[in-house]
Amino acid sequence: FAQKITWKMASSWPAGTQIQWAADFFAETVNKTSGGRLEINSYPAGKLIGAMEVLESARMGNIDVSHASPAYWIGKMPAGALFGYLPFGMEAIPYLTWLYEGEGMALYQELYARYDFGLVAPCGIIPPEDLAWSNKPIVSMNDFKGLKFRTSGYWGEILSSFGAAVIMLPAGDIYESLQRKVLDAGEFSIPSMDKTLGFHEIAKYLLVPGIHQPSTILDICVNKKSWGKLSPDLQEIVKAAAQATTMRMLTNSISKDIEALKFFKEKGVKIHYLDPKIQKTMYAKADDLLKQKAAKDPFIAKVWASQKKFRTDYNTYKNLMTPQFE
Amino acid sequence: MSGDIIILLLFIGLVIGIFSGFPAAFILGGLSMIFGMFFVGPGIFGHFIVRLEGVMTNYTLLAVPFFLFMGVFMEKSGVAEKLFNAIYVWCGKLRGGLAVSTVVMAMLFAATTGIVGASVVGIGLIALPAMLARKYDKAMACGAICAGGTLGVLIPPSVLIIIYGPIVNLSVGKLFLAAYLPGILLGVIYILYILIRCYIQPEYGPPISDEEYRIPLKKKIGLMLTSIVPIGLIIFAVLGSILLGVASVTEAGAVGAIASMVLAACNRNLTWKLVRDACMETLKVTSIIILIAIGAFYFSAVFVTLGGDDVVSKLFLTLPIGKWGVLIFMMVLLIILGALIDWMSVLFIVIPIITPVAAKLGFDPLWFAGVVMVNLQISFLSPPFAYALFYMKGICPPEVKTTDIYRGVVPFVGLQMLGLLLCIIFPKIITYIPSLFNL
Amino acid sequence: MGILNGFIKMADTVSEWSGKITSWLILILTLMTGYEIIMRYVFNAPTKWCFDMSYMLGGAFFVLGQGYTLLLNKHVRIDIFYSRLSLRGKAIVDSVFYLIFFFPLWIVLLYLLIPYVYESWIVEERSMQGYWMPILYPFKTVMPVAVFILILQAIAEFIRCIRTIMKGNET
Ligand code: NA
Ligand code: NA
Repeated sequence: FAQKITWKMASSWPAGTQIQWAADFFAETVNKTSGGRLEINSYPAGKLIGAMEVLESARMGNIDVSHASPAYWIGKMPAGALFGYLPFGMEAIPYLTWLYEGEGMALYQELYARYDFGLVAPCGIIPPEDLAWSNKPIVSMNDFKGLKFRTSGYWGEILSSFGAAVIMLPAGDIYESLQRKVLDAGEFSIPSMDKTLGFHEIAKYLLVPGIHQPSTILDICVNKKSWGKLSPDLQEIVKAAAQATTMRMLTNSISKDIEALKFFKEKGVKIHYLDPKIQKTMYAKADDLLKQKAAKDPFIAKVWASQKKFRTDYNTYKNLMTPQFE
Repeated sequence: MSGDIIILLLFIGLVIGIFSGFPAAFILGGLSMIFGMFFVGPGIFGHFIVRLEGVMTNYTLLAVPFFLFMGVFMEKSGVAEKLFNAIYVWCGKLRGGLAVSTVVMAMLFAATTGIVGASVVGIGLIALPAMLARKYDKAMACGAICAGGTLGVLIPPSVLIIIYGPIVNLSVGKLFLAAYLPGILLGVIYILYILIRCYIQPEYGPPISDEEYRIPLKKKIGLMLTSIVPIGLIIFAVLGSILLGVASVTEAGAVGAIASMVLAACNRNLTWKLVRDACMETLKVTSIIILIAIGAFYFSAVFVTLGGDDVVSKLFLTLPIGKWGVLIFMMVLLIILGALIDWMSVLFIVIPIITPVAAKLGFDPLWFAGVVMVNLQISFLSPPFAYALFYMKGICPPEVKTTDIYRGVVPFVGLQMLGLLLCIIFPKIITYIPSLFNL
Repeated sequence: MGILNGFIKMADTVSEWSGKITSWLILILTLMTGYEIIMRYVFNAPTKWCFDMSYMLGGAFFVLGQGYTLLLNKHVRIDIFYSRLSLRGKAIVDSVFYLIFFFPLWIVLLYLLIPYVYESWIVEERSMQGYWMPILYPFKTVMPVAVFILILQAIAEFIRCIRTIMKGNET
């Protein structure tokens, strides 16, 4: 007779949003499949701890599990960007293939090695984000010049090199600042998330596709002591639930994004697809930027080389195996 | 031990601890640690570390020192004196005219400062000597100053609102707009009260002498313009920069601070010593607020971990008094707590607990926040624990007794409750202005 | 007694100076934010650094003056009953509460903050909020420093309480 174990899991996602769906789905799956032997209570950001505090909290043991994205921790592990999301990074299917079947998983474990977690595992992936909500149409390269754009990280660096006036504000202020026109443009997340937060109410224009974030990997980190207390079969249940969440999060998000984009159109949002030429120009810049980063950080260099090699192989495969009849 | 009993013990501990007189912030922190260690385990310290860091990196809270800084400069800028002189030449002839001038000045002053301290001190130093010299009733004089000064925390900008917004996940800009009409309403209620009271009992506020009143109209208008324009510019600097999209609310605080420094410089009051004192004053008040915030965040870490929010929510939702009964219960609770303990502890601890309950009962979040903010500003005036009174004591000449102050504020506390009731009965008072801006 | 006097004096001095120096941060923050708004609104060229610097200096401003505020006895007390106590009664309440409610929390917190911040130095942690991505460990180090100053001042206050209880002759 095993004693019932209760875990606290805190995530970086606001309550009621599509990304929190992944955290809740994972917790529910574990609770059901373990027959109640392991119960995970899922707390959205701000309920128990703040969004950016979950990793340290799981490490220190004030929670058992964190649910976030490796890209959130680039301040602590610069290579995290390559495991979460990267401007002009891979889309979901190749990304997952690299991660689950290629060299990705070993590198991913290496990323977290010094934090000494019981388990780190991908647990959700999301499709491309919205590139920008804006008060001005963004069509040409020139439209980026002087554009007051709220974003962060590598994408901020890339945009500013194209003359955008990148503004730093807390993520929670994006909505209000767009509304009051402190910002000309800003990005937040995938269409279904942005719909929940009501971005269509305050911005006329929506720019796609999410070249700055073609996909985003979410993951769980389990405190070492908490992990050690699980019997081997419970450990397998947690691992399997994480994998199941990854798949369901992708399909669930795509289906909700289809609805969200339809909804935006009905609401009169002007949706614009960014000229592929501009995308290519920006891609070259992103490539340069990553070269610089790789030159400074051997682990980034190693991961990036692995991803580049995989992408070449995958593209060959894709070109041969993608049917074109529609 | 069942969860309900632990939560009950936690509250009992809180009451005993807070009324011991030991600094409230330390009680909150210490109590959280004790309950956390016993019922959660050593992991609770991890919460304390990340919450400390969370407070320190909180960009919205940064508006607090900015608006405090601005308030100190407004208090010392010499604006209040000019304004008072300009207003009372118009209404000095009325019975109670000086007290009315005080409230009018307080309303304008409130629109340039975010704290009660700056308002009460800034207004009191000018208006109290003027009223005492003209044989106003001491209690009436003190009441008008304290109540008027308290508007400083309701009429935007307001430190109370800046802290309130993030706690309940509402935009501070929106809450600012929601607070205008309630603030003006209270001011108007005070003025009506003073006029009626002094009309019936002229000894409360005798009209000023004819000689003093006989000032040419041209001069009166000149006085008015030279005093209103600078205030108008300050209001425009803060609100304009928010509404026109020049700055976020946090940044608007800095804009206001710079504008008020410029104003003090124009009045030749900006000295090196003033800047140094303003920095120091801002540091002290910020430290007080932040330490309570840290203690309260520790408390809520333990409270939520122990499932306290569910316990309280269930308790409220099962009360057999209906939606409006629960609302009235909450209002009474807030008034009692506001009289007994400081507004920050109430705000940081009680508001996160009752706000989700109100949402579940189907109250409009913006309206509910507005009602609670009106309620919380009562706490600045309601004795025994009332900041407006503490500041008033600090600036009173010896002939004004503490009992005069207490006697003076009681009718105004009643008027605040009347204002609160009106906001509950006529929700438009809160929601109308935000709706104009499509918020 | 000489050592204790020396300690109190030292704690008071540390608190006072930390408060005085920290207080200037608000002026710097105000001017910095004004500069950022002008750069953004007039020249359409927002700075890369202002946002990160704001919360870092702001965070330091929040906590580094806590010791000084304690020295000035400014922290809010609900003194409805407390104010009726004699000096000795107040000292008894304060010293007991310092022992139970203050020292265990803040001393353990300081003890745990040191490895927490050390970790940040080791990984050379950078801020991830903006795209300037400045180093974060000096900012994190503010936490243990502030807590240390607060504890130091609390010890001084505690010693003062004990002296009042023992009805010392000195002031
Ligand atoms: Na105000
Ligand atoms: Na009160």
